[in-house]
Amino acid sequence: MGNDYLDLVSNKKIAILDANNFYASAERLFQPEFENKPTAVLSNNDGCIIARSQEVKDLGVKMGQPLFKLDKQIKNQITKFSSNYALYGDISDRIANILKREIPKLEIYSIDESFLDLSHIETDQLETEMTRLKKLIYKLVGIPVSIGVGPNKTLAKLCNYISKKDPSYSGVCSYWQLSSDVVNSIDIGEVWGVGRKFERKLKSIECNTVGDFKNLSRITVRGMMHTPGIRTQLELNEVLCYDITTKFKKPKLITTSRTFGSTVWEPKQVQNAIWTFLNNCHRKLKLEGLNVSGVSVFATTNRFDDNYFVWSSQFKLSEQTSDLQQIWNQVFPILEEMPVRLYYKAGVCFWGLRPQDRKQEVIFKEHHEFCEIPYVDHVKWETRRDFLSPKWTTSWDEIPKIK
Amino acid sequence: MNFEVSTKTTGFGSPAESYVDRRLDLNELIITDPYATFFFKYEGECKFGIKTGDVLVVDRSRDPESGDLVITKTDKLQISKYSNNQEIWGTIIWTLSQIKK
Repeated sequence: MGNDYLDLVSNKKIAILDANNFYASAERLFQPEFENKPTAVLSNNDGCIIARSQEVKDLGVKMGQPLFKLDKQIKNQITKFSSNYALYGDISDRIANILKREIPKLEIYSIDESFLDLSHIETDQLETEMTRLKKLIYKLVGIPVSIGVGPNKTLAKLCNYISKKDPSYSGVCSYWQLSSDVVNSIDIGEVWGVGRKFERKLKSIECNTVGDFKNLSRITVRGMMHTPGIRTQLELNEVLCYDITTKFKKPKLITTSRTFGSTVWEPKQVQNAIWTFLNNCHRKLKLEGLNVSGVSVFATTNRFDDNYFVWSSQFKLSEQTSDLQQIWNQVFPILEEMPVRLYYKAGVCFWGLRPQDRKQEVIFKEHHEFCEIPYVDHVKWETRRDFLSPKWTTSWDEIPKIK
Repeated sequence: MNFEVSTKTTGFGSPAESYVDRRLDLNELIITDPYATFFFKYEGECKFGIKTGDVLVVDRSRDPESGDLVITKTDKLQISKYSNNQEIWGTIIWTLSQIKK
């Protein structure tokens, strides 16, 4: 590509720090006997593998692999854990707070990733600073992390990938220490924002590496991947397209969904579950100080069943509200239309969220008949978590025992 | 300057009103770095003055000195007196004993 955007080249130093195999590392924190052994964490209903230690990756187990499809011999080698979000959440919060103390500007990106603005650090000091942060996090929280830094998020991600891939980097990698040959030879599938679909498309036109992609014409990139593709290409050419956002983001959706421990068919039971999900969403709504203007409800049968069935309904509420009874009054009649099936999973989603102070009052309120709130007994919609480790750090009854 | 105005309408204001301190918080005494502090429960024979059921406050930010009680890491976590050739999980800075249930 030409250098027609040379004046747009980023002058920032943006790092991404992420925990190595975060869930697996968190499970090992109080159980060192699982270090260096294949350790995997399972999804909500113990259905699929959602986190793998290096040893599990080395066994060739793929991310998202359904457990029941896994080769028995491999399965027996792996120590399995149900997802323990109380633990992961607490460890994640500790890491985020330590980073906030150390770095003036950062963006918590996910449960195990943060973008850090390291622009205040001299280029030749970046590795020293990253090593300091890596050691600090390990010392205080016991979780190994990797850090990559570059002029923008895309290149930071790429360096983070290198820092993990090549042990000689010891978990920290700076874009400015790399030769352009190293960067350009990286597989295009490893680039942030290039998903499986685009990877296939690109490779079908012999665009296999970062270097190949940088050389594609903008028209080709736009035709294939639209504007996000253009941004990815610009960032690989050191332009800054996605700056660090420190602003607290209000959620656009609030969702609660669960897999039932067993199939549920009685309408009353499904209603009970939906009511509980609604309560959960409502609690989050209140916490964020928001009103909801639309609700979606869904229920599905087991997706591995032959007659996989999805029921769902979306609707706008008569006015935006944070009143639980008012929401329920409008959800309840819709549940009555739900066909009887062997449901396996259900959920509720609140959308059209608005800050409470912008509420437009409806002057003539309809008079509502109150729909009866269901009596919630303990129906079997608890998720299956057969391999759950204790809430080591969030429940006094479950703190680790030691001799 | 700001003046606090008592809204009470009868009698004099409480003479303690201008001495309102925050009540003592045990966390402040025990925890120096909340993000590096972890709790364990001791279950075993009495040793180093620690009894079964005691809660151990472990601060990973503190480097142990000789004689300190630490949690060591091998294939499991254990309490021991600090010596140089161990891998240390964290330094025990408090033990909490309940003397009446």
